[in-house]
Amino acid sequence: MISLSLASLIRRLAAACAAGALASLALLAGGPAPSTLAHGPNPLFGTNLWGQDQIVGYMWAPGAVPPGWMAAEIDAAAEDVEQSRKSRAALFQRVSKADSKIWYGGMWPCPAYGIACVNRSGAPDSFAGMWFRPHGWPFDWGTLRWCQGLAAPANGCYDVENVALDEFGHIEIIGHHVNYDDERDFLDSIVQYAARARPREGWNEHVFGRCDVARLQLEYELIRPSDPVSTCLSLATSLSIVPGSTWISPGQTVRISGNLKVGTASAARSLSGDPLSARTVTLQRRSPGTTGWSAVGTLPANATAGSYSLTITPPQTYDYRLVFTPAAEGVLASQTGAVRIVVSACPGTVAREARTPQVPCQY
Amino acid sequence: MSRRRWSVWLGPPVVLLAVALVLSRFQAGAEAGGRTTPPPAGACAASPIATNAAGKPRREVGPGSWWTISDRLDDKGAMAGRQLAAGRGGATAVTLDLGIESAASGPIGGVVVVTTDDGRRSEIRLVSAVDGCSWRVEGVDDVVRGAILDPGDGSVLAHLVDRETRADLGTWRYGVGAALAKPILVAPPLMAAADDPVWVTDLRLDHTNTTLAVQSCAGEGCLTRVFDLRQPARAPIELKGGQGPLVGWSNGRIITWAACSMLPCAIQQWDVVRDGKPSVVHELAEAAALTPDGRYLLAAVESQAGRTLRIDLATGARALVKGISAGELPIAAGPTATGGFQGTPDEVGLIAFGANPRSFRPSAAEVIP
Repeated sequence: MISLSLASLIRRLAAACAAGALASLALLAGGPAPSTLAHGPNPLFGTNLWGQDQIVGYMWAPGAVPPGWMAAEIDAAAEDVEQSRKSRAALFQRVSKADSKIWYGGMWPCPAYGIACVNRSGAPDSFAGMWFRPHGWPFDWGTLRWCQGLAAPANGCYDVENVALDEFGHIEIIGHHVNYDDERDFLDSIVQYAARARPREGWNEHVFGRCDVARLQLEYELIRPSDPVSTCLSLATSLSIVPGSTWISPGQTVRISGNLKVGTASAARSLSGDPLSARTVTLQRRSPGTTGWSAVGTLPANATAGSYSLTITPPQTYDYRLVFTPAAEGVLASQTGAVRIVVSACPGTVAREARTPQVPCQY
Repeated sequence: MSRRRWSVWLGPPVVLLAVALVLSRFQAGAEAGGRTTPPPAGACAASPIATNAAGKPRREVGPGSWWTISDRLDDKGAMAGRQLAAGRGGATAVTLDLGIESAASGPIGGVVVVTTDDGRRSEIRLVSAVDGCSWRVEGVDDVVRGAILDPGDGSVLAHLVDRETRADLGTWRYGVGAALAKPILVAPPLMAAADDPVWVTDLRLDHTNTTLAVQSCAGEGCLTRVFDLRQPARAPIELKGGQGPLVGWSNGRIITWAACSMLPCAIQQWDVVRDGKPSVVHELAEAAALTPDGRYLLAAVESQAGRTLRIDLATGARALVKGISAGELPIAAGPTATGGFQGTPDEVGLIAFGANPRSFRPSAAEVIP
């Protein structure tokens, strides 16, 4: 985790040096800019996933143990992971002995301009390290202050828990959020290239943002099928309809079932094809030959994940379909094709062939 | 008028003002060389830089020299100071308590350039890792953030910031002894905005000691200005875009990290002369160092297992090499480096937490099939 915006630095550097740069090369190099579009889920950082709900133990590096005020905040950030992951991402727990170590001061393998960083090499067995600069570390601009290391938080300090949660996010597999130029979406992610110091908005966020959660859900799936999908996503859904029968006698009941799941697509990653429970799936009908649909009712969820059903007594032949309408989550609406349930007093064989209720029984 | 246009017009005058300001604060005279005052305990009797008959520094002196720097924390975990240890081989020749704001570079010719600040004044020192003594080059009212030795003439190039505003004051050449009466500005300050400051500045001379790379890193990456020291009036070449910290020079190219804030990270090379654009040398590395001759890049790819890659920058050939233990990392130079090692031109230093640096020769390493 580092701070501030290089893009603006580069712009300003370019402006400041312009007067003396007549003989210089105008160089704009294509760096490792993420291909992810702004406002989408955070990009991936690494390839190796942890196991779902895997508990990753960590310990303080011998000789580089954080002071109490920082240790408590790092542990709190590990708890924040559990509270806000909204997925089956790994959990972090401090233990007495572990291969994964967290350093306060000591060796610094990270970029010189960082205040904290991680190396997630070793996943899914362990991570190579997490490092924090010590309180009072001098940079060109001045002195690093951790808010919790001060007697009273002062503007310009950095919140340990916020920064540590960012680092745990990296260890999970979350890359830096790609913000809009004006950073109006900054709060969508705590895993940011540039931490914000007090009192800028977001300086003390202690939960994953929705686009962090989106990446975690894409890689580790939902905790339960009934959990909402992050609104940072926009995943297609797939809804099927299975009528218990397509012909019935007048007065008979028929059970109409539906299955709702995330659409099968590579973009949905591990969520692809996952069932979605506790959603609103409604049954609609129309008279054959007409176009207007009307609601019949809402299908209650079954015990099977993503499965819904409703038993009805059709008064006459109708076409039926199911419609899924998402409520404030990152999946798209879907509907099934129409199925016709014929209501007829004719014997079954004949009724099956009947195209409309008006067709009389023929012998 | 836009902010950008103000920057363009105000840039040169501000640079001149900064130059004048630093010159006005320059403390010349006896303190520079220590010739007129008896050396304090542990002080070298003369500059520790060994020279040849022509008066040029002998950089080959003191192979196997090293230094490490460690933080001293108070009982609340806050920085209280730092301590430098320097030596040669397995022996520690000298330790030196430093201020919180301190840095070291080298060794070259067995000499470490050390900067330290006591909150009121900065000092530039040359510390002999061989003789175990320290020699004060200069005292400066502003803050010296870091310095390197110019092996061409034994002078020191130092980066300064303003003590009050922390504004960049540029990079200055300080002579050893009476070689330079006054410091000379070799790289003007970077005019970064107050709300978007520079975090770290790094200095690297090329192998001819005639080209200086001054890298300024902010929150999302770095910009490197390349100065031709033979032509002070010439505007620098700028390298920017997705750039991380410097690794070093290699045959006219600058090797840097990509603009990552976490590891592993890609390593890039920038052709300074041809197009100034980066190309990836290696995708994922955890630590890296160049041999002083610029031929080999040694990159830790899985440091916990000691897996280290040797890349021949002349041919592009790469191979995993044996001989590096788990936890040992190639020593990275730079303003926040915690160790340095002087090997032969084809050696790099390796360091593990709590251990003295040691040498490693990539070209002679056994390759893992």
